[in-house]
Amino acid sequence: MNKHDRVMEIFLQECKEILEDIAPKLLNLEQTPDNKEIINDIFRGIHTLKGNANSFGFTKLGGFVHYFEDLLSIYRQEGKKLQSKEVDIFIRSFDIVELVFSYEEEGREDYPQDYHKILEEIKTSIDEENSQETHENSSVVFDEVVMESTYEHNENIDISQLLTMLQETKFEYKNQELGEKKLHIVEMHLDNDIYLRGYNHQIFFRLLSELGEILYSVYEIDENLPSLEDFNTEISYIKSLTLYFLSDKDLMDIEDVFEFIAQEHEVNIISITPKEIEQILLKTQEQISLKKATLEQEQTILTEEKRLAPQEKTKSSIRVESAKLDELFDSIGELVIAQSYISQNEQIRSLNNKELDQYVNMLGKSTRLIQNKVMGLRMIPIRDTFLKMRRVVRDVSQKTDKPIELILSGEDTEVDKTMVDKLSEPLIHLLRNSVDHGIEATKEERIAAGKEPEGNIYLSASHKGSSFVIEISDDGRGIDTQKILRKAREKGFAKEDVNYTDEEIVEFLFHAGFSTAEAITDISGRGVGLDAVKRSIEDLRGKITVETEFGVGSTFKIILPLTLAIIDGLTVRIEDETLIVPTLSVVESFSPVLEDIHHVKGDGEFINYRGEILPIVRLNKLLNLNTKIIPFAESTFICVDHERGRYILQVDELLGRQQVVIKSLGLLSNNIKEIAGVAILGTGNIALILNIEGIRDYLDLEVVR
Amino acid sequence: MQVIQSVATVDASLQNEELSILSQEIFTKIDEIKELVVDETQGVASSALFALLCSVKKTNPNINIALLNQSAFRLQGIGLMSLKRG
Repeated sequence: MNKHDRVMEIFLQECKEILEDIAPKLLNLEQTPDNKEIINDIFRGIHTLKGNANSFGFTKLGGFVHYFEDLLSIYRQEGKKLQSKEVDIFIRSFDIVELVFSYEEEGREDYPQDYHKILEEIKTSIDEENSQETHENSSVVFDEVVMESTYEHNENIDISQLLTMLQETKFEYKNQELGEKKLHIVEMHLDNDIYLRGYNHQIFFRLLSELGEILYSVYEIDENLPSLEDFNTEISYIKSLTLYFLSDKDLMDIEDVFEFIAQEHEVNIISITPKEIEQILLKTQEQISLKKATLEQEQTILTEEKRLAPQEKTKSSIRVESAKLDELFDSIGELVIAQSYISQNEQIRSLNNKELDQYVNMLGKSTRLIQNKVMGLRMIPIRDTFLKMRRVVRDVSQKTDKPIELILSGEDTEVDKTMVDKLSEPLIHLLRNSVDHGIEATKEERIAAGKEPEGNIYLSASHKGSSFVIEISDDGRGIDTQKILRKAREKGFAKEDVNYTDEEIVEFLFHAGFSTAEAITDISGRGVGLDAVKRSIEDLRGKITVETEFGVGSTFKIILPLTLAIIDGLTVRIEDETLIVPTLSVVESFSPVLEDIHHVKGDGEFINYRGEILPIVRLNKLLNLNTKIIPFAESTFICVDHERGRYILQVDELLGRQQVVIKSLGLLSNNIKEIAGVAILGTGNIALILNIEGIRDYLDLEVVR
Repeated sequence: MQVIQSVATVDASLQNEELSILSQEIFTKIDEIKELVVDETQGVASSALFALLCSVKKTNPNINIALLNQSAFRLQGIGLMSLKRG
């Protein structure tokens, strides 16, 4: 990878982060349109995106965000209130930004659908807002620029006044029919004794009317104008008179009109063609944009500094490539193995050197500390993913015309970043299903069912034992299991002569190609999806379950391990094999009391564990390690916890506890659900890591059989 | 000048000398007048009228003078115009 590629990679990553950051803010803006801080945040993101896009020649992206930024900048101003219409344009514009970014990333030449349509909408909004702004004449930037503006012929034209004239008169300087006509700007500076000398403005108006059309006149009143008590009609309080006069006559003819007054007063006449008006306006517009950009940049820097200032005191951050983090993580894994090797090395132990033992212990503690810290680096809150889901629900809710509120909880629950990245798709799918299939089709249907007209969907995250659990619940109509069963039988997934429990029936939803949707929409009902959701979750060594009550609602529960890389494990022995049981799933280990153990013909072995009847899993049999029936009296039992119920693992011996780095078995372990991976022990030996989830599945299947 | 129900109507075709009288008249009724309307159907004879209107407003800012509330207005014989107050 050359330098340019590296920079490009950073750019793309930064753009993605900006887009991820903006998405939830837009939805927040929809709820709190008066929050200028959010608009400023979005503006800053789009501004950076524009700079990046232009630097890398992403013209489609740069061109679009340029106008999007302009529109946002209007609403950054105090007093500018956002309406839902504008927020909607923001959201749709953002969709285009995301799309066009992906097009640029893929090097596509074409434009996303609606690119030009939305761009036009943005431009129209900007024009509407700007025309209001010009009318109000309240923009500081505008005033500053027009004050500074000069016409290129070095003739002083009051640009502000010219623009006001154009605005007020609606003079169409682009009209082709103007021909040779010019705009003459006559500016007369008048003394205060002009009335005494016979001045009469009607003279000019009459004479000029013979030569052309007076478009507009501006009388400037003396700032020292007296109040009525001292008002004297012999004194002129008009300091100047400016006339905007359209004529195709020679300048000399026009100057003749003012000849007599010009002898004693200052009279300036500037003649400009319609084309020159256009040039002046263009130049002014450029200057305004430049000035605005400069001011905004200054403002952005100031705001950014202000925003960062208090945070800098408490924390600072640096950007680290996730690949580097993964490398660090792998290295820590090797360190853990090396530390285990030293602490368990028989030669070192046999030295019986107390000082050395102390150092080995210290090394163990430090290794664990570093490992936890590095683990923490990978853990991020699920918040951003959840916030993205608000958009999903909003869009599907609009498409299906179902008013729905998405209620989030547990957004700060942390989970391995690798998992967060892979959770979006399954969550999107489940939420879309909840809106489309879960919530009733109409408000009337809900009201008739004694519910509020607005549907509710709850998305929550929590840590439960060694698991990270996400729940998607809705208060909709629930799953009609009989309908599912009929469909499952039609499709040949279910046998006609078998009685299925509700749990088993719901499982059919996860079969590839299963769908009960009456019509295929772009939201759901294609028959692909829930099986893909299940696969994605299983790829993360997780599990998905469904609880439903017809007419009341459904809950999809995703249960995942906290991290994919390192686990704290209990090492156990079965014959000559060492196995690892994830410690977070272990409730306790104990020697069994034989009286508590019961054999149920055909159903296996159970133990009365503190009043709870738990199934016993003979690991040697399950894993085909040997065919011996090891007496319970010679075994150690380990009680493990699981969402679907605790169970007991029978092992020969408990060896100890250690942190292990999970190494995948690759394709080899695909069909062995009971094994999560392998770990290299301190002794250099390899140990299989048990999959508590997979073993629970085995037990459930045994019950079914 | 006519003052009916606190609304004073002034004729825009008054010459300078007449405007002088008008200014005094308005001054004496400055607290009575709530609104001042310009009748410009006969055209505007003197630009001093514009300064007079501004002076009225300066003397009693509570008097409503519609012309001064607009950024630009059209008057008989003058066309579209605006007053730029210092």
